Amino acid sequence: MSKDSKPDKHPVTRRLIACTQSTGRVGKSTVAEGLITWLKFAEIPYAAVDSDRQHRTLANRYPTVDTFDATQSINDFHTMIRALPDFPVTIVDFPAQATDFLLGAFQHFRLLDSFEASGVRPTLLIFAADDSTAAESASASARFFLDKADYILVENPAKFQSEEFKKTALFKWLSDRKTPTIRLPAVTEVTINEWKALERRTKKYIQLEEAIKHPDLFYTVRDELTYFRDTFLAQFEDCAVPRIISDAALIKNKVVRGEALKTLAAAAALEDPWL
Amino acid sequence: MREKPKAYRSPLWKHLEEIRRWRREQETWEAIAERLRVNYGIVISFQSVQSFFKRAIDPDHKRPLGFEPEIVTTNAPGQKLAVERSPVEESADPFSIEAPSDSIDPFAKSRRKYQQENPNE
Repeated sequence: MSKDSKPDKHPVTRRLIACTQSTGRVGKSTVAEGLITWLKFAEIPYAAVDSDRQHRTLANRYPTVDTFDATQSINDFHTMIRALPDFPVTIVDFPAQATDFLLGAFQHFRLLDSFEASGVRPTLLIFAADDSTAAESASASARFFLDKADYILVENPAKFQSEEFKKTALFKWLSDRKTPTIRLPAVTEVTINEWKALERRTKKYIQLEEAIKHPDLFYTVRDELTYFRDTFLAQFEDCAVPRIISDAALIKNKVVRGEALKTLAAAAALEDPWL
Repeated sequence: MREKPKAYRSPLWKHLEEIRRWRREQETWEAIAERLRVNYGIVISFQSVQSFFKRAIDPDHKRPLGFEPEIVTTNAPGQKLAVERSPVEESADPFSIEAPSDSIDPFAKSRRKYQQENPNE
């Protein structure tokens, strides 16, 4: 390398997918669950850690998901970074209200440069929520990472509105970078309640994939969860390269498009305000 | 038929002080049980860790014969009063204990899952 040249960039081989926004109850763990469902479906090796010690939503549903609160101290964060596995995808479900800590920790360890040099690239999930804390922490995250990360926008009409967010400079900046949007499909309360009731009855957490096949759930519930899953699968597959994985060859199992599109249409119908 | 477990055989005795330290660092019992699993491979529910700790620190807890605290009752001049001892031997040199943070692998389950799915790699 010559004296004036930039440090060598390692080709991206690993993705660290997380949300650094300070916002709760927007569906962070649901998106992480959807992403895990797709990674399992596509047979892509991944690691996942639930860093939200208070809720443990992800770890409760997925026994193979680790629990480790990397935001408890800078030492714990360091421990997690040191142990980052060689899998193509690592998902970290951080707790809400951790933006300052996380950006500070990234800065402390100069992670943007070291990640770039070692082939790790962050992908940040940005929840397009109108509330000011969510929008400000999204902006702080994007200003910190800039082009050293990739982004995926998330809309969740059941939990938040995105009209105001779409008027912001951040949204324009993300749109200029052709940031894809994942839209969480609507699921009726009846389905959610029946799923939760089944978990209470069986005294165990039931994964989405398991719920879809569970004979104790009414067929409409199973069907609704099936389109929820298929919509997730199709959307994640659409934006997979390069934001989730660096190489399309890693996808061993592809979503059957015909079915996925049908389910997307069903989801759109549910979100019709006239209904 | 399984044998009745013998007294003071709990693997947690070795980690009593560590559990106490984690507790003082305001760790939840769930997190402590998780740390025990990750650091030492002790698979235990958080309720059991809590019950063990409660029992271990309770001075009124009835101990089996022979395990009672060694208390010297004589008033012989110059004789030191024996301090209640934990049934676990403590390391003489605190610096010889492995630092716990080094042994924590936040991705232990993910790695295990991958190894199980890909035994040849």
